[in-house]
Amino acid sequence: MKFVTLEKSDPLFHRHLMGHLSDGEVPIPVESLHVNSNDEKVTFQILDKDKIIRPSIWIVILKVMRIDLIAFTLFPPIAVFSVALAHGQPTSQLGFVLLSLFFLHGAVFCRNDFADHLNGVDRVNEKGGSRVIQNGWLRATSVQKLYRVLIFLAVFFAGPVLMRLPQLLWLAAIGGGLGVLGYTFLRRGLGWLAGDLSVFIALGPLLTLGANIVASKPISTVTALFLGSGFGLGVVIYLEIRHLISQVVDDTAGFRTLPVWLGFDRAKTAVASMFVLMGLMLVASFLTLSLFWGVIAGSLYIVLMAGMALRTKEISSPLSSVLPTLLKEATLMHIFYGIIFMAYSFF
Amino acid sequence: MNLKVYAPDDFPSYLPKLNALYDDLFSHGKGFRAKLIQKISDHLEVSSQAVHLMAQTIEFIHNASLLHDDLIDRSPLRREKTAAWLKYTPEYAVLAGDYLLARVMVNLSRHGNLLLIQYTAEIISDLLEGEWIQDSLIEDWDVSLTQLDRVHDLKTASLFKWCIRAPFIAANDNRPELHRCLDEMGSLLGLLFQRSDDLLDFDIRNYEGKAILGDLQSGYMNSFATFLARDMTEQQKAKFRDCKTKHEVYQVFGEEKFFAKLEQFDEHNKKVIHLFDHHCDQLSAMLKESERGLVADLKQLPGVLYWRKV
Repeated sequence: MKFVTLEKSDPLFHRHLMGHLSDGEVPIPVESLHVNSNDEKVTFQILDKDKIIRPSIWIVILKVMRIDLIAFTLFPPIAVFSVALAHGQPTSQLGFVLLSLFFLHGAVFCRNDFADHLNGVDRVNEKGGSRVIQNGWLRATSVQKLYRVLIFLAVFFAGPVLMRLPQLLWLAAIGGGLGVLGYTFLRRGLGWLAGDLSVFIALGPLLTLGANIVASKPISTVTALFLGSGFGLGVVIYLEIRHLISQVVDDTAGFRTLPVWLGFDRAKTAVASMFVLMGLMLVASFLTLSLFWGVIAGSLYIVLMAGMALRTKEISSPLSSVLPTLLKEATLMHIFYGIIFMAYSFF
Repeated sequence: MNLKVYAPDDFPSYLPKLNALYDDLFSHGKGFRAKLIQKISDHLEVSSQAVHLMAQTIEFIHNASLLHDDLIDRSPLRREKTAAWLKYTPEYAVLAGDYLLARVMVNLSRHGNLLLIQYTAEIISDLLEGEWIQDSLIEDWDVSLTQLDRVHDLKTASLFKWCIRAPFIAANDNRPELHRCLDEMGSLLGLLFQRSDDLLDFDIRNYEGKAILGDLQSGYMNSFATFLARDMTEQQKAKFRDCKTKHEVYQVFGEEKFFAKLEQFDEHNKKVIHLFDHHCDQLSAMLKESERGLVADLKQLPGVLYWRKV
């Protein structure tokens, strides 16, 4: 077993971090000290490329694109488009939008994985990111290249829609900017709050409003705002549960997150409140549509979310194994939220 | 130097019950950490008075944690004798643990090395954080190895880190890069010691014949239990939780598979040992010629701590 320890000032440091050693060898960071500072020191294990057990390349690509979280990006437009389809509105460009968002989702997560590998967040937090770089399945440079390909595909498929509706460029620019800021640059200091807020806006109201414009407004702007806020809350809930899981690491490493700022118990209360608030957003969306059965369905959804909130409150520590389960369930709740709304299109 | 870290006159004569409790507590300890301090200090320019102080400090902290641990876990035995909280009441056990920690601070502040006082306070704080988090994992049957490692780094490794860093602080060698390396090494040693200790609970390399399956029966999934449970079905997990003997453990998924998993666990930990060796080589480059003998001594530690070679 071969290990190399390098300091940031070492000329080989960046090459090792990028995974560029030789064709037959892959350096994997196993210990990182003083990350993101001039004193940073990383120990790499040098592995033979042939000895790394890796799933098929397609699975690895889907993993780094975080396909497991694709619902966060695609469900808001799908929910709006389904209403448009049911109302017989023009749908020719909806496919392009979904394809563009699919690749954009992958690109953002590739960028996120790459940036968090370089700045050390995912090297310190053993549960952070897709782990594709840290497992030696893809070199950091390959993830960077994949990001470029995916962003090209996202722009390519967005082209026809943007030509027809140039005003979407503003929304896309705001959303893209918020996404990049939220995920990459705002992790320290008070910036975490802006980061969480930007994720909420970009993957919530902004995405839903954009989809509503593309689909020729099958729902009112107010409905889209309520619906989108629920979707946004769903993503923030997911994010905060992840922050609860990594609270010990984040606190020790000096990363600022909601749980580090509020403390474990109050952060749990915040997440529990967000569960209930997400349910209220669904009810509010149906109220704006004056749909009685929708309000009933939304109320049942609130009961479900209240159950999730109670479970959140019962968790005893950031290391509890209930948290990873809750994380999966929060993803399902986000999907369920979209499905209940989509049922609207059948009435 | 004969290390006698505890002498009856270390504590006030007007507290006979406290002295009796400490007599019981210290009489059967191996003093491994104190010996480690001495071994490291032998290669450095540290006065015998300072070595004694450090050895006493680490043993006091360790024993204070045992007094509190036994009460928290409701363990009836410590070193094959009735645990202090049962013999002397829980209140006395808590007070005796607190008193040891207070003595540590009194002794260190008399010595006057501020960095050593600060570092000692930090590791006591880590130790307590680890204890606190560990308690929240009782009855958590799906805890992951990474999560447990975090607890063990705070709880077990903090003392090992102190053992290998404190002699350098006492020798006034406070180079940051040296202490970063020592800190990592302490962390790895703590991990190896804890994992080996967890194996004892499954009667693996249990040369001293310690009682087994205590962790599982108290509702605590230790590192090897967590490693075993990775491939278990829900049904197997339910059976596993109720195991009272090692044969019942074997029956959960077959003796052959049990030992195959043990081999995998050992392989997993060999990587930690290789990493420790790598840090030893790094440390060697930072030491003076006269101090380099220390590296050979340190390289033997994984054998003692993980493989339990005497």
